[in-house]
Amino acid sequence: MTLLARPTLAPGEAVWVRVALAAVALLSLSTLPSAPSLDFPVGLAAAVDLGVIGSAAGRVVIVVGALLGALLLVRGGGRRRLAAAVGLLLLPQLLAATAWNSQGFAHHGHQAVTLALAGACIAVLIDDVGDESSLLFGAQLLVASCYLGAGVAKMVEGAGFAFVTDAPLLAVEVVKTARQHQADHALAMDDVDRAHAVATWILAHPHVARAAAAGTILLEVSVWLGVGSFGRGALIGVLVVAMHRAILAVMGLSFPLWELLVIACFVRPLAAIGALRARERRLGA
Amino acid sequence: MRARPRVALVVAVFAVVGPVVIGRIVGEQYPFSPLSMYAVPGPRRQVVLLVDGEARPLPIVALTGVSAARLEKRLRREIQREPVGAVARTLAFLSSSAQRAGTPLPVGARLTLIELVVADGGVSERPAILEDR
Repeated sequence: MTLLARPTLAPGEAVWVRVALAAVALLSLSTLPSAPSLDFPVGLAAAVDLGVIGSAAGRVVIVVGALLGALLLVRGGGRRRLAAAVGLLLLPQLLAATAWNSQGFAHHGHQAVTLALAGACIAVLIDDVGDESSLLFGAQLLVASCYLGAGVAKMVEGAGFAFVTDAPLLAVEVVKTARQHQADHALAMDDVDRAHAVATWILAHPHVARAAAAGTILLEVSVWLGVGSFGRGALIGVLVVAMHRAILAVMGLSFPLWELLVIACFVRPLAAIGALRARERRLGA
Repeated sequence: MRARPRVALVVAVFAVVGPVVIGRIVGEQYPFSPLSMYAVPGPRRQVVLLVDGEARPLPIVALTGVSAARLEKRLRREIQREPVGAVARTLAFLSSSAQRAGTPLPVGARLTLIELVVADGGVSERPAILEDR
């Protein structure tokens, strides 16, 4: 079993990799409105004044730069062109997301996109091949790193397995997210009442909550096993998307950027279609 | 990678583990993060609400573009930085966001707090007073 190897692309998947990375980056940017204040600067914003990002002119530069990067990436090319295109896409996304995260609240989906683009950019520069498989390899490594980080945090900050043993207490998070959603739009209390019922059920079935929590940690620290292998990657990718969907159903928390990254980098629909066609050919022969 | 396969494997391992270690060391420094959201389950949580002068909830997203989840994080950061005046500063942030959105906050708008506590096999809601020190 080869681990952490560069993936082999299916026919036509090179275009998919380029389009998918460009689409995820643009989607991330489209959900990043101008930050009105940078009162809690993080990352680059702690060293450089990114206030200009919030101005109308700054926004135009960000959008034009990202669109240009996306177009160049979709067009494709050799190692240097791919690296330049991903770099051009990465820079505006990094600046806009850094500014957004400097308002006192973090959004980790944008962080995963930034790291995936950075991984793709570096990989295509230093990898032997320097094509779309290198882009995918770099993105896979960094997406896996993000999930590993989330799993490690649960073990380190929970001082062992408190995340698992105390998992029934996540019931309060169910009510909290429902209450926040209700507050967002001053809605009726129907969803909050439903959340209270779900929370009561979770507290009455602590072992179910603990099993789900244990499965979550196990999956998060296992994503790296899917790097380089279509079969393992697709299996882990589908499980991760199912995990996010389950969290959405129970807690009302959505993870669109994470899901898209996992689908683009691990589930790889074109590779799945290619594998199915190859199987049909083998059976037909 | 261009060098020997063993070096390539080391680079790949570093790519996976490196950001995790950096995030644990530097904390929330975009694009690095300890990713500690929901890492420690607890029996108490708080929800911060934007209400009008008669304590009726206001649709905070439509007015300011800031969600209640972000409001709570912002208030927590303000308190960590300087507890005195943290509520007023957070309200001022919301007010400036509302001005930018072209939907000024109504006169008398303020923040309130609801404490959520695991108790008696369920989660109870307890309104709490949110005042600056």
